[in-house]
Amino acid sequence: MKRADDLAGVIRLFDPRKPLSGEALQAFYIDRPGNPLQRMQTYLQGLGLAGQPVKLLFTGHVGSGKSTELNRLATLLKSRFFIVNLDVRRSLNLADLTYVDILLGLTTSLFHRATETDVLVKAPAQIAAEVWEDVSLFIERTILGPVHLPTPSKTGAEFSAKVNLLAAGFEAKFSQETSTRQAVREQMQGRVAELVDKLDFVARQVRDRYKRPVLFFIENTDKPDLDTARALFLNHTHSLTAFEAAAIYTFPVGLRYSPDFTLIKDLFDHHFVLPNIKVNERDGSESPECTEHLRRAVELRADLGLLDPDALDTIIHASGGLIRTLIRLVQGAAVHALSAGQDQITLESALAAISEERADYIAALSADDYTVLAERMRDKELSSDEAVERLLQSRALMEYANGTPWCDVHPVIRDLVKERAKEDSTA
Amino acid sequence: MTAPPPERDSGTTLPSHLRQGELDRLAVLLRHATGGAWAVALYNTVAVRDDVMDTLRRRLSPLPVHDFTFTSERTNPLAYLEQLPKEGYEKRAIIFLYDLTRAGEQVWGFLEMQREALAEHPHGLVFWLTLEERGEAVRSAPNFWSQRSGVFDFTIADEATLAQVRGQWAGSAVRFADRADWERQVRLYQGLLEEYEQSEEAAADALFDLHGKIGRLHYAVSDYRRATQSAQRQLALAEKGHNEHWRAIALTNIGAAYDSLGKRRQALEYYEQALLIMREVGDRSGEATTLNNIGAVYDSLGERRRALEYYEQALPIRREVGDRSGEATTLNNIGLVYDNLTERRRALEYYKQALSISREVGDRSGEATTLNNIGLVYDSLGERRRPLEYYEQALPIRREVGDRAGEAATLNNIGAVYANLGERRRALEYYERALPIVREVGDRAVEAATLNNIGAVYDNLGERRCALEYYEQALSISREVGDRSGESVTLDNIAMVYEEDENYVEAIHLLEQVVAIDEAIEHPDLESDRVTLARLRKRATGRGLLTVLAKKAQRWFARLRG
Repeated sequence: MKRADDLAGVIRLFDPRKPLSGEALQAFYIDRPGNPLQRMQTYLQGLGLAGQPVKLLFTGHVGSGKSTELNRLATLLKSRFFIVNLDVRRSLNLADLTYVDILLGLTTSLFHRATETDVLVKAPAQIAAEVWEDVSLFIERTILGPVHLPTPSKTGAEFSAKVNLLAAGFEAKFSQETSTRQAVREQMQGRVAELVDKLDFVARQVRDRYKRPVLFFIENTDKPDLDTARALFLNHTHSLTAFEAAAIYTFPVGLRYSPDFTLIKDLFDHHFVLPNIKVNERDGSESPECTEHLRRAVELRADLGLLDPDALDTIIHASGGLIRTLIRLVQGAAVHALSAGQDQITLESALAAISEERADYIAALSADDYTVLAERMRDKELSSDEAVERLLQSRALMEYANGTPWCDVHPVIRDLVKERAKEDSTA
Repeated sequence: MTAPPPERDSGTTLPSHLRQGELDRLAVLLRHATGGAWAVALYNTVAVRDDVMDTLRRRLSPLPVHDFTFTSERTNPLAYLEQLPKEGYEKRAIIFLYDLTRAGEQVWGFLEMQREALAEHPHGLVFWLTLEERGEAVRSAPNFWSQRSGVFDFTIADEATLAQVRGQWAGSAVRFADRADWERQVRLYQGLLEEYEQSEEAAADALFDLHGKIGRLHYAVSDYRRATQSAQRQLALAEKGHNEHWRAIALTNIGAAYDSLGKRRQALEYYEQALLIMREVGDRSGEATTLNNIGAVYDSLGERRRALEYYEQALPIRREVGDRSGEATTLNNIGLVYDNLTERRRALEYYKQALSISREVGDRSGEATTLNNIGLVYDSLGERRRPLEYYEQALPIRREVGDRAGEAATLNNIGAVYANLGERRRALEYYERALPIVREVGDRAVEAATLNNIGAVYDNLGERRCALEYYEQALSISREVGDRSGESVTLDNIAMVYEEDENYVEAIHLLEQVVAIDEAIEHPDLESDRVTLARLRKRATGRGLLTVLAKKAQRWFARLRG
C-alpha cells in the first residue's frame, strides 16, 4: 500500500473511521512506545500456550487504537493459537446483550470456525463425521430448537455443513429478532452448564487435533451502554470465564474507573490497558519517544514533505496522543490546505483544523466541567468520581501511565480551561 | 511535487448569508475521500440545507448526491445504503442525512452500534445537525463522533439575517413537480414550522400559512389523514387568534380531506360553515372554492342536479377573480355531472375547455384528472379502445405528481376497459394494482368500488364464490361510508349471482332494495333495474344481465375524479 504523495492522497489515507487491518495494517502499523502489545503477547504465549484458559480484559480510550492493536495481535499469534473472532456487534444484538448470548455466540462461532472447509481439509479425515456429531445435534436441537429456520437440503454426511448453515441462519435471526432471542434465552437458561460443556468439548478437540489452543477475540463487548456492560461483567463474570479456552474481552474504559472494577478485575486473570501515547510527561516536559512515534505514524502514511514541520509538530501535540485524533487532524488540515489551493499542510491550516476540534469539546462541556478540569490540570491526579469518569469517557481528560497512572486535560482545550479558571478567580 | 489547481469552482457558490469556505472544504473532503468519509454540517435553520445540497451537487457532479430523511419509521441509514445502486461514479455517492432526532433519542445509540458497518461503505455521508444535536452526538455517540472527519458550519449567526432567510423560504410557493421535490418541500416547511414554533416571536400568520402548505402537500399525495391534521392545526390557530377568515379556510381544508376520505356528510357540514364565513368576510375566491367543493360532494352522493347548482354558482366567481386553475377544475366537474347524467357530448365540451385551461396554466394534476375523465366519456360512448389513449396519457402524469388516489382511479378505469374488452385477466391485473393504493390512500368508497370490480371480473370468469366474497366486502364498506350509489351497484351484482344460482327469492329481495336506492338517488340505472326486477319476478333467466352488470361497474368509475 503506497503512502500519500499529494494532499488528495492524504485525505484518502487518513481516514478516522477505520482501524488498520489487512494490507493497511502491514503497511502502516508501527509498534507503540513501550510496546504494550508485547506484554499481552508474552502473557498469552506463556500461560495460554501452556493450556491455561486465561481470560483477559482489554481496554483503552475511544480512538486510542484498540481495534488496530487487536488486529495486530491476531497476526502475531495466529500461527500458535486457533483464533476465533466473535464480534458481538455483528452476530448478536448490543442493545440487550446478555452473558447467555455471548456463550451462544462463542459456541456457534467456534463450531463454525472448526468446521470451515479450509480447517477441515487439514484435519484428520473422519473428524466431521465422528467427533462433531454430538455437538452438532446439540446445536441443532437445543440451541436452534426454538428457532424456526428453513431446513437445508440434506447432502449426505455433510452435516457439519448443514449445522453451519443453520448456525448462520441462527445468527441472522438472533441478532435481528427480539422474539427469537427471548425464546433461545429461555431455552438456555437452565442449560448454561451443558452449553459450556459442549464449548469445552469442541475446544479440546481443536487443541488435540490441530495442536493449537483456542483463543477467542471477543470484540465490541466494550460498546454496550455502561449499565448493560456492568450487568454483563459484574453479575455474570463466572459464566464469562467458565469455559476452558483463552479469551480476550474488550472492556469499556468508563467502567474501569468505577468502584465495581475492583470486583470485576479479580475474577479475570489479567487486565491490559492500552495506554494513551503521552506527548508530554506529567511535569509538562515533552516526551520525545512518544512524539517521534506519532511523527513516524504520519510518515508511514504520507510523504513528510506534504507537511510543514511546524504544522506537523502542532498537530502531534494537539492530538493528545490519540491516534484517531491525529489522523483526523491531519486529514482536516489537508482539506483546509487543498481548498486554499496549497500543496502542503501549512501551520495555518493545521491551526484551523485544531480549532474545529476544539469546538466539539466546547459543545460538550458544562460550566462545572471546567472547574473539574482546572483542578485535574493542576494536580494531574486520577480519581474515581462520576465527573472524572465522564470526562475520561469524553476524552476531555486523558489518562496516561508511566508507573502510577495520571491524567491531564486534552491539549486542545488546555488554554481554554486556563482562561476559564482565570475568569472565575477574577470574578 | 506540482501544486494542484486551487479547488474553487465558478458558478457554484452559495448565497451570501452562508460561508463559502465551509462549502469549499466540504467539497474537497467529499471529492477526495474516495474510501468514504463522515462529515457533519451544522445549521440553525432548515432554510440553508437545500441551498448547500444544490450547490454541492453541482460542485461534485457527476458524483451522485442523494438524501435520507430520518422519521419515526425510517431509522436505519444502513438499510438505505445497502440498496443504493452499485454502479455510478467510482461506486460512490454522497448522502445527506437529515432530521436525525425525528428517529427518536435512540438514533445516537443506533449510530454508535452501526458505525463499523457504516464505515464499510465508500460513501460520503453528510450528517446535518443543529447545535443542540451536535452536543447530543458528542455525549451519546462518542465512538461514532470520534470517527467523523470535518465539522462544517452553515449556521447563520446574525439574527436579522436568520429571520430574513427563514421568511424568504417560508413565503415560497408550493410546487407539485415530482416525489423528490415533494419530500424536499415537506422537509423544509415542516422544519421551518418547528423553528417558528420554538422561537418566542412566532408570527401566527406564518404558522397558519406553513400548516396550509404542509396540508396541501399531503393532500396532493392523497395522505388525507395528515392533511386533516394540518387543517385542524390551522383551525386551532384561527380560533386562538379569533380570525374568522382563517377559520373558513381551515374548515374548507378539513372538509376537503373528509370528502376525500369518503366522509361526505361530514365534509358538507364543514363546507357549509365555511361558505357562510367566506361570504361574511367577502372572500370571493374562497367562496368559489367552497361552492365548487360542495358541488363535488353532492355529485359524489349522486345528487347531480344539486351539484350542478353549486358549480354554476362557483364558475362565474372563478372567472370574476381570474382564478384560471379553479375555473378549469369547476369546468371539469360540470363535465363530470353531465357525464353522469348521460349527456356525454355536453360533458366532452366542458372537459375540453377544462383541459385547455389546465395545460395553459401548467396544472399537471388537473390535466391528468380531465384526461382521465375524457377517457371515461369515450368509454361510456362505447368506444372500446379510445378511452385507453386518454387513460394512458393520464397515468404517467398522476405518478409524476405523486397523486396516489388519481393513479388508483386511472388504474381502475383501465381495468374496466379491459373487462369490457373481455380481457379479464388483464382487467384483474389493473384492479389488483389499484387496490393496495386505494387502501393506502384510505378512500373507503373507492376501495368498495375496486372490490366490486374485482368481484365482477371473477363473476364473469364463472368463479361465483370468489366473486361473492369480494362483493360482500364491497357492500359492507359502501354501507359503512354511506355510499348509496355504490351500495346499489354491489347489491345488484350480488342479486345477479343469486339469480345464476337460481335463488330467485333472494335475488328479487336484493333487487327490490336496489330499485329503492336508485329511486332515492336518481340513479341512471333505475329504469333498467326496474326492468330486471320485473323480469326476475317472472322468473325469467337473465342471460343479458351480465352486460348490464359490466356497464354498471364501469359507470361507477365515471365518478372517480381523482
